[in-house]
Amino acid sequence: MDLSLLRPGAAALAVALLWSLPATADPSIRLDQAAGTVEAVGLDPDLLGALGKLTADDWRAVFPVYTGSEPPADGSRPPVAGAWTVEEGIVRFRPRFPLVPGLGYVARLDVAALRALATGAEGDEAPVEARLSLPARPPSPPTVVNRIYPTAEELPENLLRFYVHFSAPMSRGEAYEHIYLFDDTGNRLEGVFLEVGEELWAPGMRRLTVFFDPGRIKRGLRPHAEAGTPLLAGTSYRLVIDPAWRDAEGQPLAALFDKTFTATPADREMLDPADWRITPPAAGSLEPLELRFPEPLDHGLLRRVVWITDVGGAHLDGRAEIAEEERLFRFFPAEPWRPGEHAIEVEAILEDLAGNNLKQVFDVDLTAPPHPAKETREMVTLPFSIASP
Amino acid sequence: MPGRILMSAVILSLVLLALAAAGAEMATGKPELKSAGQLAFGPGDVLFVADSAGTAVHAFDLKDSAKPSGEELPSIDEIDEKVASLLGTTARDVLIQDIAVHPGSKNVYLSVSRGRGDDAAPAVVKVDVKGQLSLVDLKGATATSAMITNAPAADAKTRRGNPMRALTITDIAFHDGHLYVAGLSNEEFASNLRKIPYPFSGEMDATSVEIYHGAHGKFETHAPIRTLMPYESGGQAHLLAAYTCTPLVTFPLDKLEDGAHLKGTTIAELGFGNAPLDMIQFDKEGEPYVLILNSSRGGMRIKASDIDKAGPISTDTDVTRDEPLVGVPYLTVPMGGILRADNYNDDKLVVLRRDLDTGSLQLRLWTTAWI
Repeated sequence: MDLSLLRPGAAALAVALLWSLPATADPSIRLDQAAGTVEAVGLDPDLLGALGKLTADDWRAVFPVYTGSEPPADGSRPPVAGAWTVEEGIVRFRPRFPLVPGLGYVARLDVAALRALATGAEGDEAPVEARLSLPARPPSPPTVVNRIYPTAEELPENLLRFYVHFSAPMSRGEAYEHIYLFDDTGNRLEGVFLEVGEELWAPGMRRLTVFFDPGRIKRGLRPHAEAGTPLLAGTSYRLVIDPAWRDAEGQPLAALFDKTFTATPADREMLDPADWRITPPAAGSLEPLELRFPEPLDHGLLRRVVWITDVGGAHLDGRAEIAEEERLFRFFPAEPWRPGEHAIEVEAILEDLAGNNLKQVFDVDLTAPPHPAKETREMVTLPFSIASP
Repeated sequence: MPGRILMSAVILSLVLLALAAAGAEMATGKPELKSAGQLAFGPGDVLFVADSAGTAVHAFDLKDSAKPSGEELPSIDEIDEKVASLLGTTARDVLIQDIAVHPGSKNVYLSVSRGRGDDAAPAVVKVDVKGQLSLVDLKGATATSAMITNAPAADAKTRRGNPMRALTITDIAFHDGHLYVAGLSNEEFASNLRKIPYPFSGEMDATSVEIYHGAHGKFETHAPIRTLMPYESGGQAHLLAAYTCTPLVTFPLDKLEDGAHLKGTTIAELGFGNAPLDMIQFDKEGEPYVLILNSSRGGMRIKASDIDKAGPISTDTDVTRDEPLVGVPYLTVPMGGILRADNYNDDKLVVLRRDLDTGSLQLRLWTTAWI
């Protein structure tokens, strides 16, 4: 700007403005904590005006941000991925993923190299470095195991799975290091669970499904022959959740959690709705409908695949509750019961604790008589009637 | 020493469910990637990314037109540290899920979870032939998606609390215009194999297949597939599937039609205390082989021609641990610590490997002469 062309008052104002702009200070780097961006300020206006032609590769070379406290001397690891913008005299680096609270970063602005790229002029400014970090989050209360299903103390030796429910989201990638099964002599049993690398979490990561190794449960397969079923009827076991297991914030669990149970003989029977008992509620009430089973059923599936329909066949809105060691399904309607014909609809994939469902047993014995009608059904409908008051 | 794999009688019956029952549905357009899992390259520059959290498979057009320079990928130690550096986090918060080699450019793509908790973010990282890492811009890429949902998804309809069911996509593979998707539910223990035509049409034309496998002709059961691989042999396409429980089953792909009941062949059981991790086909000295990577039994190399010859064997005797194993011959190859592999060129694979001496996670080439 040629100040001599301006009137004296205006020139004085312009000088004052220049003084007040950070552009006249030495370049520096700061962290905008609210926006999660790393900013370079204090670059001189001539340079700022020439930055439009820089590519992302250029920016990565002259204004990289790294994890840790020092930039790697040899370029042995890449800078943090993100995008650079120049707005209102500020060069802003917005990381592609949010900076991790509590983790250290280092930003390096090579002013001379920036000047060379932007203007072609040789510069002799020293590079600027800054160590940055967002404040660590205050730790949440420690996570606990709320419940392990099935809740019964006697479980069939061909038990298929446990569900472990946590009070807060957990951390992926270490589940099988922290869940153990001991027999009644205190021996830890190896190779009993199906280790699925991805881990079988429910959305939200507060429930983990742990399958027993199905190859050991199913008859006729080599793992079954080699090692037998994981559990043996008559033996007591202790399932242990190790407190070193970390939650989503990286904190260990509050305490060890365990569940003891005794194995009973294998269950190789299909579910038979003829054995189920329905207790209809009174018309006009908000009392629950009760559906009672002769054995515990799978908690996850009970929650998901049982529906109550009204006279017209529509699904009733309401709340389900599973009780009495998963032998009882209660349904509380949102609206009072109306007299007339209703039905319970159950998807045929509903399983007991050993993976037998309404279509077949877990491992179908081909030498037994087939049940073609049952094997192809997708839904079982159990009508019930609510009497007029 | 070549071993012998148990070959047992098998029935693999496929029941193709009506679409209404399976509830598979498709969508095209701008997908939201919620997680990045198994990878597979399709036609052209298309990278399929399995998204278990989004219950979908996304097809990204990578526009990776780099010409192979003749250079080969250098060995990269502590690849997880380098990915963490790129993603602005620590190696503990980096889970590398799968690797895939772009057949044209030889760039290696890694699917990554950034973070381990419920707020984990997906990423796909490219490693070029010089070993340089960069983040793939998935938001800017042209993409289509196939949703893999299970009706009746009525969880949402009533006050049943948060939906808890999830499908983990355990493997995907592309062959001849179709994407094969295997999955494992966190609730019901069922087979989940889907065949989806690509390009995704936006119509409900996915085929849901219920697979049974048997043992000794006496028992059969549903089972989820851990890893699968289409392969051509004798002019016919087959699907080779390794189950979680752990039979290795093959069946002809062209029989995968509505209402078909297929008899497949169990050509191996991978055995107790072990899980199959990955499966690829490779050629060595002009001979095609199948390589199965295992969690604890190293690598198993099977001659493709031996799979062709394998016929169903029926036996009424139960196997025991001491019983000599009969069936398809395999060679145990020293590939301990190798978690994932993909074909790189005529005589090399690229592998993701945990170095058992140093604990370092490596991305490196692996000469097929060693296999």
